[in-house]
Amino acid sequence: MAFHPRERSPWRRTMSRREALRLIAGTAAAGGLLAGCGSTPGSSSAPRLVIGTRENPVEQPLFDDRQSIDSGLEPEEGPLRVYNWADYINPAVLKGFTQRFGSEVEVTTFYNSQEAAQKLRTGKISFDVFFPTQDDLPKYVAGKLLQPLNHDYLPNLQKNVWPTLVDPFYDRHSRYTAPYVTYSTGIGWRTDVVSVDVAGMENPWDVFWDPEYRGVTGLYDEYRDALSVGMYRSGITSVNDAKPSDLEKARDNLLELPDLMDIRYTIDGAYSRLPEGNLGLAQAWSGDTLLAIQYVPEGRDPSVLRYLWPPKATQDRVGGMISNDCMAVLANAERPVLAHAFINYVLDTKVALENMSWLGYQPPQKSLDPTSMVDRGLVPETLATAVVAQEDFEMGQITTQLTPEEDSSWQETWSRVQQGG
Amino acid sequence: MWPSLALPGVLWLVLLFLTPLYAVFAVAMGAPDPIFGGALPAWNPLAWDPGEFGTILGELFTGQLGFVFLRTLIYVAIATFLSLLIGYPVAYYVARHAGRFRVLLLMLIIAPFWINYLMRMLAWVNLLSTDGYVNQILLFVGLLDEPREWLVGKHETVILGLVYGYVPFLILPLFAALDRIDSRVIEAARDLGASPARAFFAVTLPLSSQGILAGCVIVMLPMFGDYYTATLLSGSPRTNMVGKLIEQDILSGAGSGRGAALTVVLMVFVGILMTYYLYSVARASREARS
Repeated sequence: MAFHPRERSPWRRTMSRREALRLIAGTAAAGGLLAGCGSTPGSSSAPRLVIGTRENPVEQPLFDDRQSIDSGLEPEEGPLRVYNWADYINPAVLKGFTQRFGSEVEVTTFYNSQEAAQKLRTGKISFDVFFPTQDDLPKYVAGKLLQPLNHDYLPNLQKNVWPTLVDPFYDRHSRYTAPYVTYSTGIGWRTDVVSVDVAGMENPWDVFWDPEYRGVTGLYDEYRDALSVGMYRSGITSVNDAKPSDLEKARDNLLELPDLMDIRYTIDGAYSRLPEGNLGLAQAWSGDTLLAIQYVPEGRDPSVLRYLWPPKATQDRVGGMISNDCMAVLANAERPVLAHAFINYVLDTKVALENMSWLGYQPPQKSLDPTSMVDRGLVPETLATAVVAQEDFEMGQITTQLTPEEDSSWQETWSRVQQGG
Repeated sequence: MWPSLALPGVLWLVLLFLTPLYAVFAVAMGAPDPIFGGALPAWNPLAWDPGEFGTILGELFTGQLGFVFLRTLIYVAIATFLSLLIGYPVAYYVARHAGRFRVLLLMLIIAPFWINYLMRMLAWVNLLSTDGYVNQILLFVGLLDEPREWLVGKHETVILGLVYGYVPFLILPLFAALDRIDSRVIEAARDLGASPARAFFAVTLPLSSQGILAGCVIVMLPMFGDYYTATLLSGSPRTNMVGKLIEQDILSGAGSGRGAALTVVLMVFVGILMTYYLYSVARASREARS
């Protein structure tokens, strides 16, 4: 297909019609019922996605009606309301915050970014702190869902965080976000199942096409992660574009897998099925790999687990994704000062470590690198490869947001892969 | 006065069925959202754009999507048939022969519902793993020579999951139907010389046909939309059902319009099947009566 079917309707590009639609949506929303699927609040001033890349860092736009809070304010009374992914913060960290600031923390969780966006866009629910992924940031800013941060409340950002992520390419000067945790997307395996030297392979991603491991292999059930493996297989590293030929290549590569490998697409492959022995080889987020140690059944040997991030193993000859998640204050936060205090608290080195010991995912703290983490016993030596170092962000591909059109193409390709055959 | 009693039901239907259904149409035929991706719902039918349906129908008739629909249909048909095969004797026994254990047995049939569906499926993942109990037992009794890989995209595993997950839904309406049958009718058949088998096929089975019908419809409808059974027990594109594709489209953001269109297509597909099914069953029962 040469172009996306939605582009066929000429009226879609006209603004008046869209505004008419929004008007209708607004009227419907007045009934209250349809508000959940309704219009974007305050999106009238021609919002635009500002997507940065490592090569072209960007400042996210500021809006007159989205100001940061003044300096020197006292934190509000609690409770602080946090909107986060499920199981994505150590409950002990929340307890510690309550002890320190005297405010309860209420965590509401979302299952995926789409669900979070939909709920926040209704404007009817108010949370204070939100945890977007780095690559979703442009749409939350353009949708005016976030407020700029006041760095006077965040001394720990400069003090503790890797300089790369204090001034990140996706949000220069950290206008809207502070980094939460980092992760790379690589290959996890068990040495008692996989005998081939994955690190020594010309292209480590090829291991997912090695019929030797048929029936024990898994990829993430997530379209960008899975399709990127299909691209890396063919040496394509443009995982932030949507060139039709690249997507077709990825599709064709992945369509080989059901019969060749009995491939399984799961979301719990790396942290649960791999340590339990249900899989022997899986695409893995580095954080899932570190979490996996906790999932090794009692009496079994956790030292069989290995992780590799191809760019690091091949001096950046082969591609691989790396990214980070963020913390942000929502535009309609009722307790913005307390929210800043919370973010600063999580950026504290001791707190960050306490969080990681439960979460598996690694905060971008200056004092943490592979050697120091092994030395401190935070990570077994066999999995030192799963620790992300600051310089890793110079390698591989950093996931960035796709435009809605590009995203649609990826989605269609993924749907085709899931249809099999 | 009497018609007004239908008001709560009508309200319920409008609020919780027609409105969401309209929302699905509005999303399926909405305009692309320039910021968040996916579709902005088009509430005004004049603005509806059926482009997404064109894509889906194209894939359905010329692409692989048709096979996914066919696979879904076959899974559901086999799983429903097996559920009936398993459920009927159970319902029959509980309704006619369980005596004072009836309540206990009914409780036991419902008991699995006290555990979350996902938990039950995850338990099956462990049972069916290479060194799980299922393989151990089958090896022990000699039905298998070596452990079987149940979880690598096997059709039978997904069908087993569907049967396991939905069979209680079928037993309950069947039980109700069988319980309602006047035992004197069956006794009369026996008195008039019918063998037990003949009495069953000529009297009990036709009288319970409404229960069979209700039970089958009740299990088939959710099975058509099921996505997590195949996801958890297989995860292979070989065994994906339509529900999984819808889930994927809607959850990933960019595909919400596509997912909504697929939902409507599935609804029409199931609607046609159900209409045919209900029609043929109604005709059969009319013929049986006359």
